[in-house]
This record gives sequence, C-alpha cells and structure tokens, in this order.
Amino acid sequence: MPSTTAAIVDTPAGSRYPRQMVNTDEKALLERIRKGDESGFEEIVKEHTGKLVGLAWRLVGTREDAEELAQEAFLRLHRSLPGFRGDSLIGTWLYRTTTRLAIDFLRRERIKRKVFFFRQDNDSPDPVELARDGRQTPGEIFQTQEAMLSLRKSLQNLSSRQQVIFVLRHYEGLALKEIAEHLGLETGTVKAHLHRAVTQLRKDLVEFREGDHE
Amino acid sequence: MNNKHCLSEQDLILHYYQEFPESSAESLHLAKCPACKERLNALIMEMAALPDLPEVIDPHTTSRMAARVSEQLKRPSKKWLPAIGTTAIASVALALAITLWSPQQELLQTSSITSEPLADNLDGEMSDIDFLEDLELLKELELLSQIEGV
Repeated sequence: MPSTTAAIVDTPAGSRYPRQMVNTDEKALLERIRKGDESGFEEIVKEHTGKLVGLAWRLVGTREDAEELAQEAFLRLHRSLPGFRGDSLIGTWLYRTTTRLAIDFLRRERIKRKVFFFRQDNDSPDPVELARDGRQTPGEIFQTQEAMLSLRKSLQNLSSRQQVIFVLRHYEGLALKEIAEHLGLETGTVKAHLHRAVTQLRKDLVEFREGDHE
Repeated sequence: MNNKHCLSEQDLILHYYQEFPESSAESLHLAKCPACKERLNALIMEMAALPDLPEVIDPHTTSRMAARVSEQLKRPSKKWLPAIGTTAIASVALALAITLWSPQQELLQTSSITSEPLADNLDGEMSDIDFLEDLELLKELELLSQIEGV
C-alpha cells in the first residue's frame, strides 16, 4: 500500500477499525445515554467522526457527501439505541452502517447519471486534498490530483457494490470475510465483485496511461 | 507448466490481496510457475500505480459533526409528505423506471426518453440483482425530492 505523508492523518494499510473503547466502557456509556445523558452520545460522535468521515470520503469521493453519510449513521445509531444490544462494538456498527449507506448513495448517483443525464462535477479537487503536503512540488500535486480524478472516474464505472468492496479491500485493508459480513453477502460474491472491480480498474489504468503518452 | 493449471485472473487477484495461505495450492503453484509469477508481477506493478486515498481530515470536522448531529436530534421528526402524495409519486417513479428499464426490447425502442445505445448500455451494465434493487430505490422519496421538475 502506498505510504502517506506526515501532513495527512494516516491510516496504516490493513488496519481494522480501532477498538477505542472496551466493551464494558461502551455498555456504561450506552446506559448513561439511555438514562437521558445526551453528553454521552456527543462523546460517541466525537470519538468516531474522524474514522467514519474518512471511510465515507474514500467510498463516495466528496467531503460534503461523506459528512452527510456519517451524520446519517450517527442519527440511525441514536434511533437504535433503545434496542441496541451491544453484540458488536459501536464503532463496528457505525462502520457497517456507513458502508451500507454509501452503497445506497452510490447507487442513487449512478441512476441519476444514467437516467437523468446528471453529470457529477468531479473536476474540482477537494480543497482539503489541496492542503496535503507542503513538500510536494506544484507538478507533483497536479499529477496526484489528475491520478485521483482518474481513479474516481474509474470507480464510477463500477457498480456501487464493486466500488465499495474494492475500496474496503484495497484502501481500508479489510479481509474479504469481514467485508462480506459488513455487507451481508457471501464471501464468494465479494470475491467475484473484487475480481470484476480490479479487472475494470486495470483496463482503465492502461487507457489512462496511454492517454498520457499521446 | 501446463497453462490449464495456471491461476485464474480471480485467483491471481485474491493472491495479490493475500487471501491464500502460503500452504495453499494456489500459493504453491505460484512458487513454481514462471508464467503466473510474471502475471502476478504485472498485476503488482499496475496496482502500485493506483493513487493513494488517505484519510484527509479537516481539523474542524469533529466539532462540525457534533454540532450537526446535535441540531438534528433537537428537531422533531416530521412527516414531510402526505401519505397520498407519497404513494402517487412512488407510483410515477416506478412506472418511469419500468418504462426505461423494461427488459423487453419493444418498450425500450418505443420509449421517448431512452435511445437504443443507452438501453444497450443499461442492459449490459446492470445485473438482474442491481436492477431490482434500483427499482426499489426509485420508490424512495429521498431520490425524488432531489429531482427538480418531476
């Protein structure tokens, strides 16, 4: 996995969602919230926002949409709290919910593009991405942005499931079995989606490089 | 090495993502097959060319999210469309989706919205499962509220 620069909050390759809280702490926190202590829920939001928004951004490509998805995940958690049994950690639950919300979001965007001829403006780089690394030369920054745009466009050629599965495996480092559990799919299905995603991306990469040499 | 025993593209990709233990038949084959090693090296090089997607965190994200969520939680839940209107809009959306995506070629050809190349692209790109799930999504009000003029 490519290395990241010091200016960026780095997630090492292959890392799982960090288990910031042990189960007993979470149970105590949930109990506080159920008794009406809303500051407890604010603690949850502050604890998990960074990871969730980062995940959502990787999946959907824009910070605004990423924050919307993360917000929705938190709201759904809040609604689920009365019946939340704690079978999984809160972080795992949020991660899984965000992933599924991302699939729905990507599917809707795909429908809009195909049926209503909406064109998503992917040509404006995310302003936060622009403030990535002060050590990069302008030429390097431009190349990086071009590569990012090309990747995003290629990802849009995939189905929403293929897109999410690829990002979860390649960039989030989740094992395929974990991805299958998050998405409620068979592992074999996840493998097939990953295969199709990589095949398509390799094809697009070749075309991108050939375009560079023209 | 006989080609028919070589790894499939899928297995090569799975090996790249370390899904096979070292003692697996796939890993053992790869250790002995020059053709598969070459294919794997090509895959590794191509995948290395993919750009990084680091988690770029805006320093104000956390406080902004806490404020947003708090704001949303304070709002009373509201039914923003009457039930009858909801049903009517969902019916229109479903009819539109069926018109546009009916697998029957005559419907696609006579549709005033779609053109034949677009229909072919849709048929080629959407699997049956995605197609059915997309129909479900079209019923959702959230999508319709984003479409202006419908």
